[in-house]
Amino acid sequence: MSRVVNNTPSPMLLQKIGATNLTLADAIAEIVANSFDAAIEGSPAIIDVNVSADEISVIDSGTGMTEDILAEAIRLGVDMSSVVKKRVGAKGHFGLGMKTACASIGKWWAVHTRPTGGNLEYRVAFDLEDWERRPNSPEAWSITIDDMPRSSDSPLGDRTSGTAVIVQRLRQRNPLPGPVLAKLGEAFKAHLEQGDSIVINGDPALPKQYRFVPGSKVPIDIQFGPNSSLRITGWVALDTQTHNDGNYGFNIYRHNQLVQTWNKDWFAAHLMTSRLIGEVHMDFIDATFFKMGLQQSEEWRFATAEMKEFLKPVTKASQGLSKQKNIHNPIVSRDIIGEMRSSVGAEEWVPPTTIPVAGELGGGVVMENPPPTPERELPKLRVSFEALVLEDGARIPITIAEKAMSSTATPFDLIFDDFREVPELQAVVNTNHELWSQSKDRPQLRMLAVGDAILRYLMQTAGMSGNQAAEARNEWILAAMKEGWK
Amino acid sequence: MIAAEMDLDTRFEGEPLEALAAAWSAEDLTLGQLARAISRYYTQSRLTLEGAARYLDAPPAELEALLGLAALDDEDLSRLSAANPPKTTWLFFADAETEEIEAGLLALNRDCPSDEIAAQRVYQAMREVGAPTLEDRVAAISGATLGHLATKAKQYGVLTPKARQFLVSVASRKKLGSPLTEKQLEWLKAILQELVDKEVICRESPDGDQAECDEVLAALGA
Repeated sequence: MSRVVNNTPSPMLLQKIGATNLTLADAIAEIVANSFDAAIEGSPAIIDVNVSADEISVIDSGTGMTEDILAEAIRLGVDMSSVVKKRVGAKGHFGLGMKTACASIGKWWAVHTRPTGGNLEYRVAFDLEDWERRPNSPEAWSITIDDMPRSSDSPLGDRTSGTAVIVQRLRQRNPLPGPVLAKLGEAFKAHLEQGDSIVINGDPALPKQYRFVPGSKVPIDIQFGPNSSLRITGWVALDTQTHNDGNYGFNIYRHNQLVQTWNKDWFAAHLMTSRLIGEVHMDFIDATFFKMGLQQSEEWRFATAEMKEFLKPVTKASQGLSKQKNIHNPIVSRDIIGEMRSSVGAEEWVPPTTIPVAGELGGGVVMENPPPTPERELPKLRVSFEALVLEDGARIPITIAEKAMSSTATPFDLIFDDFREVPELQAVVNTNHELWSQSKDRPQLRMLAVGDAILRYLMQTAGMSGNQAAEARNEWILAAMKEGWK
Repeated sequence: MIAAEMDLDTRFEGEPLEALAAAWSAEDLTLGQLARAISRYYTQSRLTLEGAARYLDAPPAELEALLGLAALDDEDLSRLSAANPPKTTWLFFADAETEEIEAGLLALNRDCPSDEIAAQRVYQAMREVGAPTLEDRVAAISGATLGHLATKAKQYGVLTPKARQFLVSVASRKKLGSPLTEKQLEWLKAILQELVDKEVICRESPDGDQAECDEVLAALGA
């Protein structure tokens, strides 16, 4: 015997979908993405975001929603592309983004919407505490949509059309607008560059400016497909930072219109490859490209095969730079970028700032990224408690100077002064050398520097043999360690 | 004044490399003359610091110190020339302001026990009159500011949980008046620099915390 049971989800589900790892900025970005989807074709999107301790609002001047569309939009899991004709590149697909985002931001939210044409606007509000109290029944999911005459007192103000999402009873105390500005400037970089605008608490979100690894930006110009009839142009570069926020990959344009942000279909997306940032123009893709689904488009499959091949050296370079702090090593970075450029057929890159070297004397070191000029500040001086005592009883005090030298090639060195009554030996540690920045044990590095200075002094100035000098150096190190060198 | 003391063009004739070597081995030059001559011919030689040091058979650090001294203004360099301080003080004088140079030279000329280290005496005197170091300034950032930055970093989604926790713990230590160790100070500097690099701390903060941002930026000298 079988039985039909009520399979309506518990009203608690609405509360639970908010228990995500979304940051506040991520959640607001979800709502803003809907605003871009609803932008009026041919007009720049204008989106106002307000962040305060009591309320967060996202208000757009888009197409707004009719009562019927709003009724679908507030249902969980409704694919809105089956309800409204979405523009190419629409971001919302699964009918969960806005509800999940609102529930993660606060415990009460309302949607006000004013469709183009007509004299009415519509409002619907969700109060999670009320939903928690609802009995588990099909009626539990019922909700009232209010209609009202358009009024400038509405959150939509004097806008001809648009939608406002207002969230209150916030989960985060004292939310800051800065992270939202930063997130929206990064996530919607391409939109902002195209003339759309997002204003947060009166400050415009600015498209994020990436700092690329010098020489890593290479052009893309690939012709492929039947009779080479398809063409992709643009560029790709490697960011100086990795991204764990998903804001990397390619922004795709069709006839100069942004159709997709941060596409990652052409490389294995993970932290090591997250330096890849690029823009491609693919005018051949169909206007219905996204509705057809990527896998069903023959042109897309051709493009994917070409781009995957083209990007192999670039992803390899991204991985190489991310390994073992190679990004901080100008010489290794230069080699990685050089190999990448050669593999993709780009011109050889000449660093804009090089220190000229003279033949063999220069040692062949070319600085691509000379360290920034440090603030004028006294080097640090430490006094070693263990002086160097020679066989004849002469006592040479040792100091250690920590100095940001103009060269990054010398890790440590010495200065010796014997024109005074008491000669002095100074070990110099170069704080601009990689050893300093990489060292996890500075006292040991200082000991190494002093040991080196002693050895060189004894051999070069005191005339000892290498073995004698090493023996004396070792004795000194042992004595220093016994005295608790730190 | 230093340049007027000798005519470098006529004193060391020939190619820059030859002139560099001649200046380095000249025994009758004052410190100022030596610094200016070395700086001049080093620049003309187009050698790297290490290349020039190898050519002269000199320690790169000594060469670096001389190049730094050459960049001092004439009056400061003349004063140093007259005092002819030990080489182990050169690096400090090369990065010093006039007030610090005066203090260092006064300390050098003071009667002191024969076993006192000249470099240490000069350095301490310079530090007493000089501006606080980067480490001093970072160590002086208030606990309240560091606590605020820990919260702010979380909202921005930057720093590892360990680094954020470190900021919180440093904020508490400061309230108790505990000083930071060298390692802790290094880590704190790196964290604050990361926050600056990621624009969490900036000149025009949208987050109503300009005073805290300015405190950190001033400490970092950014």
